[in-house]
Amino acid sequence: MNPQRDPVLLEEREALTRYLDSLLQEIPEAPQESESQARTEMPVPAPVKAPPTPPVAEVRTEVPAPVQAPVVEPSQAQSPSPEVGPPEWGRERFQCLGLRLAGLTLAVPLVKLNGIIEMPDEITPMPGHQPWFLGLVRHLDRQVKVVDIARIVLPEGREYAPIEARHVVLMDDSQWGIACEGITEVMTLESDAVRWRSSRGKRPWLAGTVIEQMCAILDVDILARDLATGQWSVSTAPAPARRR
Amino acid sequence: MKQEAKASARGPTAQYVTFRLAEETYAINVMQVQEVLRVSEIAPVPGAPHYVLGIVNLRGNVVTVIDARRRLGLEPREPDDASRVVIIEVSNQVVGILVDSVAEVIELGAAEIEPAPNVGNDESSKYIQGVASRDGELTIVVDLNKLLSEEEWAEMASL
Repeated sequence: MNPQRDPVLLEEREALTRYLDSLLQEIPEAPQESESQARTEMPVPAPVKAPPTPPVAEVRTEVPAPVQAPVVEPSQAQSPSPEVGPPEWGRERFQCLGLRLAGLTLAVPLVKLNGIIEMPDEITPMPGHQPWFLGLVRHLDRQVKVVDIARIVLPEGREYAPIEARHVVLMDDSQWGIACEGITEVMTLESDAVRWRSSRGKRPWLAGTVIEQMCAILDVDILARDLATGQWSVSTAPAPARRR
Repeated sequence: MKQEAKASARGPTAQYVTFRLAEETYAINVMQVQEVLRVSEIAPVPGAPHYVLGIVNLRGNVVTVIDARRRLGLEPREPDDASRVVIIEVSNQVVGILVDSVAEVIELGAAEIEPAPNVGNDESSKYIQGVASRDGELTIVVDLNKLLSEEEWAEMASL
């Protein structure tokens, strides 16, 4: 082991903890006793019980349907609105896929995923668009709009650096693709193990946080809606060249 | 019969001149293209918008030349041997646009042009009519009528 890596790891962990803390600051304080009770009664499944992580080499395959996936009404999926408490898919046990980008781990509910593809060698940038819109890629006769959401989800005060995207996670009927640096694992979460946002505030795309896994859960429907119409105040650093 | 069905699926067709900008392929309606010129001396115009390179003398007529890279928000670069000025007519005005190179004339069916991606509601991208997939690559179809706003066209006319 390289002893020089330890400070970096500590720094990353500290930064992540601060980020999650900042996310939680927008949640009204819950009574301490109910919080501890929830943790006691609904422990997060141990890592050994979690389904195996899909190997990176096989990420071209479609994401399998989650166990006990709740049914989402089409009308609700088409007109998402920031809800108070868990979204429909989070009201029972659900599964999430972990994404790594810009040093953060974000979780996306499997029920909202359409697939994962490797970052293509070529991506067609569209002139005159926001810097977080990396461009279009062709996938199964569809044009996927690939976005770098690190510019959006990075906490304030943290400097943006272009990510080295290796995968694109498809969502919202494969209209959108989230560029990410890596896929971590599939997490099975109990609804009560998640601190759901009670109000969406500045981050309507944030469904909740999972302290045990140190990650934020994305509300994909809201994120897709805001990507199409959003006017985020984001870093204007130039996007990295995608041609290799 | 098959050819008729195929033509029907493509919808009404039109020809487009394709050109290259920053390693991407763009297409403009051939009916709006008058001619393609090699880059000659371009006289700068003081006080002109940043995307206006200057004016050229085209057989006795003064034609304003726009740098397509700058207009589309791309990194500007110096013209080289492959660079061309495409003379177009839009809104009863004749202007030239400087592009990296001119590629070919292609035919596209209306159904082959997918609408421009709606991302972030950017005003600056309204000139993108749509994208068409050809040979596995995407071609960006530009609506020249929206390349400049009415005010900008008026400003162009006054140069």
